[in-house]
Amino acid sequence: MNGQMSVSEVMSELDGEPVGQLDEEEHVSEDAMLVESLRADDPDASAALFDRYGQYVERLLVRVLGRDPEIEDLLHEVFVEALGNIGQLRDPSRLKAWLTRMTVFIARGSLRRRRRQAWLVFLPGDEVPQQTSSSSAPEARDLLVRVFAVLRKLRPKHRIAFSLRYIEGMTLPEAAEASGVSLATFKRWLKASDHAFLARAKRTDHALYQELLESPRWGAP
Amino acid sequence: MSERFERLGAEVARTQDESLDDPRRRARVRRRLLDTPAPPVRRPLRAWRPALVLTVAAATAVAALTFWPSAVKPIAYRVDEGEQSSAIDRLITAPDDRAVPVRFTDGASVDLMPRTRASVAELTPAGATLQLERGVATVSVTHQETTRWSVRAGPFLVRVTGTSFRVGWNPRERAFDLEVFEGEVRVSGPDTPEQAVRGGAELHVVPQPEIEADPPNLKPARSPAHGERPAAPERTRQVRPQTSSARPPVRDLELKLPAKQPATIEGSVAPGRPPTPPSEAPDAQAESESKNELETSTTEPAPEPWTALFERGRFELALAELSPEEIERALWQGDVGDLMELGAAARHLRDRRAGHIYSVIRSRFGGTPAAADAAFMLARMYFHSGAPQMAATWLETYLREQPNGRFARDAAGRLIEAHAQADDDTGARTAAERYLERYPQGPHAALARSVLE
Repeated sequence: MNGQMSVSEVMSELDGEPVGQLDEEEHVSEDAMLVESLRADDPDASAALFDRYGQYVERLLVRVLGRDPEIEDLLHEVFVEALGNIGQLRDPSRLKAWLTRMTVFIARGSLRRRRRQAWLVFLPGDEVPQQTSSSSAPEARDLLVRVFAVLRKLRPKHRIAFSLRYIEGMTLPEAAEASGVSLATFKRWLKASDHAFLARAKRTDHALYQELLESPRWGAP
Repeated sequence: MSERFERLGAEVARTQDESLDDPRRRARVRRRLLDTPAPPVRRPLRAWRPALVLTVAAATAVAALTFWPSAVKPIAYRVDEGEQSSAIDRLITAPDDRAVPVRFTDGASVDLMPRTRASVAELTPAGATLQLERGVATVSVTHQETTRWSVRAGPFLVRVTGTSFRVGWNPRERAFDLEVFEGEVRVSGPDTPEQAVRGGAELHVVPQPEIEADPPNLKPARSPAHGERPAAPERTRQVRPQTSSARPPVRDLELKLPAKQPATIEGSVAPGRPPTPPSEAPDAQAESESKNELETSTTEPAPEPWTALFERGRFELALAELSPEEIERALWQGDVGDLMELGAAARHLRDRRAGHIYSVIRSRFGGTPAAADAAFMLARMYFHSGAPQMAATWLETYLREQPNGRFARDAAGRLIEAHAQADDDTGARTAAERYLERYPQGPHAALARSVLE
């Protein structure tokens, strides 16, 4: 969709749309005040924006990219772009939806960049972006690693669709808006991501594939 | 089906949430954000603004052309604390036992690693072009608005604005190697568009012989490619690791890098061998250029900071405290035991330089058990990064070099896993058969049997 667009163009595109379901009503007025402070160059406003949404944006990045060495840079990039483009947000009550879309846009850009540069055979930052958790059970950690091993093989838009809908748990309209596409397009992405995930799991992690299809753990067969 | 995916996703999210809260990471980002001058708030463009912008741009261009000081001097450089020079195309060769610093008046610095040969091909007021004839150079360029720096290495061009990186070129093998420590560079190669390479990324390109062009009697000892088994077309485009004694067939020296190679593995790692500073006599062409060469003196170098840290076994501290240039010198001058320790420390710290450390070990100590161990470590890294094909290649390299080595059983078992994950059924079956033949009671025996069923 917006492969050639800049962040600001994407954000402008969003700004004309009706209020999305991502906004939480109780935050709307506070968001509006925060946006006004940012526009007024209030010296504390940048910190306030980060304190308010830093954790949320970080979580969204992790949902899409997993535990990735680029998360820190991307988190920074989201807020730099947000602060630079805040003047283009015409409806301050939509701050969270706007940030969400910016985050997804930047995460998708990162995924696309990696695919484009695959011919360069990069050595990624950490020896491996492992999906590990120190506190969770070994089975849960193993599942996390295996799911992201499959997701890494998916096309960026399918990976985005899968992550937003199933891992972050967004509703279809929320996920569509966050992805910057129509609901119908997002549904197509999601359907394709379902097929791609299963096909990839079948080839590379047959145990996960079987478990997903047959185990009562994931619902009635 | 979507309900199953939802439950799966929910469980993934729960596991992520348990390790998600990293206040230190957010604190670092917050600090970076607040320490950076606030970007100007971009307002929506009014109708008259584009015209104003164009007018200002045109006026600026006219002013720049009119008032550009034609007398601005190009930058100059100094080799190894010698006289300041503006000489172009003068070859600089680092001796066998130490690196040679080249310092430029714009603040940029280049360290030519031992046995590296390079020349300054161009000097401008905004920067310079370094021609890397062979070997490895560590480059640090200070970012300024007008910086124009570049490094040419064979058919590759690295354009720099402000960054530090290491670049290597081996003309004999046509192997190109790039590791960006900070900032970003743009690199282009033969028949390939320019690509950005950001800090932390590493690039190895070595000649890739087409499978069908391989000599039919290519001995495994000279190439880690599986001579006995045809590789999938996708694999032919991937870089193969080579032992330091390996040389690509002469007729296959041309690089095979498609402009848009299909991405097989996102963020994948491919084993490549950094170009080694040639240990043999320079080729005839290089010799013919020696009349213009500036040979540097070979006085006893002062003890380097890394030697003290290595002697005390402080490898993690070395990774934390040494500059990229010092690390690079340590890699090319340290002994193999220390470098293996350094690699282990890097892996322990999840330091992104681990791959490079093991690549240098293989390059410098090819044919030794340590080089094979480095191959095994690289295989583990590739495996865990979701690059099973590359992992398989390195595992096969290890098993060929050390069939009875200390990691042999583990490597043989992991090879089954790697082939299976790479959808290589034939490879998995072959590996499983070999495993069962040697280790019928081994920890991977059950897996091997399941593959063969």
